[in-house]
Amino acid sequence: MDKKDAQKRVDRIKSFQDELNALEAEGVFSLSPEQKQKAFLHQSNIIKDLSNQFDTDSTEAEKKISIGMRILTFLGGTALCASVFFFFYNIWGSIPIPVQISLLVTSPIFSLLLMEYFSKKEQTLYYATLAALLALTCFFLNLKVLGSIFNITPSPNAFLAWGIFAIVIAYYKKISLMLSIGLLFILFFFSTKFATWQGIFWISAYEKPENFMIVGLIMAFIPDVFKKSGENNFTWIYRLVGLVTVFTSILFLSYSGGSSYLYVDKDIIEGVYLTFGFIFSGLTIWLGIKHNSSCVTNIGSSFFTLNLYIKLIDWWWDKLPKYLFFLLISLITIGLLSVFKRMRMNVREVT
Amino acid sequence: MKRYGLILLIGFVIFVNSIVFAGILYNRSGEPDAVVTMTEREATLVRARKENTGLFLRLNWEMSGAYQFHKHIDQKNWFDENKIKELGLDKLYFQKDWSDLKYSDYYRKVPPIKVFIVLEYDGLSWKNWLQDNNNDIKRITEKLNNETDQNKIKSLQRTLKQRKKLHLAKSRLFAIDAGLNPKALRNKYSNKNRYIIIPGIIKANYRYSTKGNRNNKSNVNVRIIRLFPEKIFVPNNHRSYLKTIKFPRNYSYYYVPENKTDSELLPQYETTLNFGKKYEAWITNVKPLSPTL
Repeated sequence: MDKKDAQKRVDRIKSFQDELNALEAEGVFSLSPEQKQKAFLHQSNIIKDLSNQFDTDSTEAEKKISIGMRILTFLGGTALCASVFFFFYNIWGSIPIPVQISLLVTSPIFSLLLMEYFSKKEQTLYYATLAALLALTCFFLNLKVLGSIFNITPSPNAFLAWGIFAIVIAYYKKISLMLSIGLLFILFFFSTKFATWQGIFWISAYEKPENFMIVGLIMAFIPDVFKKSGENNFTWIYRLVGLVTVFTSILFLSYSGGSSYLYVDKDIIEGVYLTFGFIFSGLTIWLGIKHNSSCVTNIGSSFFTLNLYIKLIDWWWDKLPKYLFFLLISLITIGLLSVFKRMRMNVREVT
Repeated sequence: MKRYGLILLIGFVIFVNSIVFAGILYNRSGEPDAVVTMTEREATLVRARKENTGLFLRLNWEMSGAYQFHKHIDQKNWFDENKIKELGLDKLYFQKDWSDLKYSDYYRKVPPIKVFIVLEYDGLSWKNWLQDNNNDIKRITEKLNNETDQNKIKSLQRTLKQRKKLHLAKSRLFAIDAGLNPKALRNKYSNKNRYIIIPGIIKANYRYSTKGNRNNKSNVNVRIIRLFPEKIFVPNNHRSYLKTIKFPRNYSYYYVPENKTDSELLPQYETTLNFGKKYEAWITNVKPLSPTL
């Protein structure tokens, strides 16, 4: 059992107790006082144990505070990383190269030890996450500054190293933030490799969004390839990073056809990608519903709507009077609402 | 993962650093590919941004024959159609007839490719440049003698003054060739104290011709957009003199401040740069120069 499963159990217990009280109040069903006390005592012990073991939230108020703490961890971690980054650049000129190298190589190792210490001290992993972010920043600085000191020709391999480092931390300590960062590094690495195979210098990989589109698509389906029953809760991160990359690339290409690898007129390319964007977002919504994945459904519907509105502005903003433009937007929105409502009904019927 | 995660992570950090250091040692092992002693004119001091104590020397280079006075044309540019073919740019992107304007947007977005660039220090390109400059001085002097408009006279006098001082301050480092095989380039340019071979990236652009025929293939223009390294790190043992320099002297193209004396334009230091087996540079010496002509 991990923290997510523990929290699910706590939520189930709370729902059960609330529903039982409601049934009693409505006079439908009631347990004897002894039975009720026995059940509630047992459940309260479970909640206490899970709280001690996994730091679960027992109330709505606790849940809200936990979200706040997670946001604070992210902000604090980012600030700490920025501080380390700028501090190093503030001093590196005045210290000899051997000292610089020692600092650069040992700082990620010390940060990893710090992460280990914090993860053993507390179940919540807030401080361990801070230390993990610090370790990644130190490792990032390590390779970047060594490159500057020794005037090494930039290489995309550094992204592979940073990506592997972040992903190993993510799986080791179950930190989803590290996995998101790691996947972005890996995505960039393989996209640059794809560009290099086409003869393009790796730094310019972003000039051809198809490089990212293909890698993003593969990334979104990685959890299906390495499927292990009930194994991890990271599937949504792969889908999120992969699909957002694919949709962003499609969106960009539907406006800038000249950036495509396709060797045809740019207007045709833009038209193809616009159509493909709508088809792919529809397909994503369908897949999300089929596999009961709210993350995939939400990404698909968000990009469908975004694509549609951007295109509507592109087509009609200058051509139509403003009142007519907004009227059409509102009518389309109402139309979309009814489509989504129907979709929700279908999902309800299926489930 | 739970048991060995920490060991795996620490091992990974050490492993990656070992690969980096092996590359550095390989680059610096044996005889360097090039050893060039140049001055502030070619290796200009760059201070990093605020809150950064790092010092760098930036290679100050120009395309050989890229510009002539008042003629912004690629008349003597060696990046011609043959060179584009040699580097394989035409195979990658230019299979279709580029006179077809509907593909112009595509050509404009052709991404850069990596090649090796040859930089020549104080060689034939510099001599040609001096010759061009002397010709320009003669042309400007003639124009000045025939000019009656006072404003134009003032402007020409200023240009002439700058042109006469430019040879004291301008970089003598020129990009003269490019290729895909660095060893073949080294065989062609064997003087290791004059020719540097370094990686760089080039980009082809489709350009509408302002005059002449749009269907001309020379409308595709290729330029070097970056060299690696752009900046060379100054290690702690060579910083002592460089960090005392308040105003680096960095003049390129056709501009020098005309109110400065000749000694104020001369370079303040010389430096020796080594380029290793992986064509990566490092500084081996920095020496102050006395401000005499």
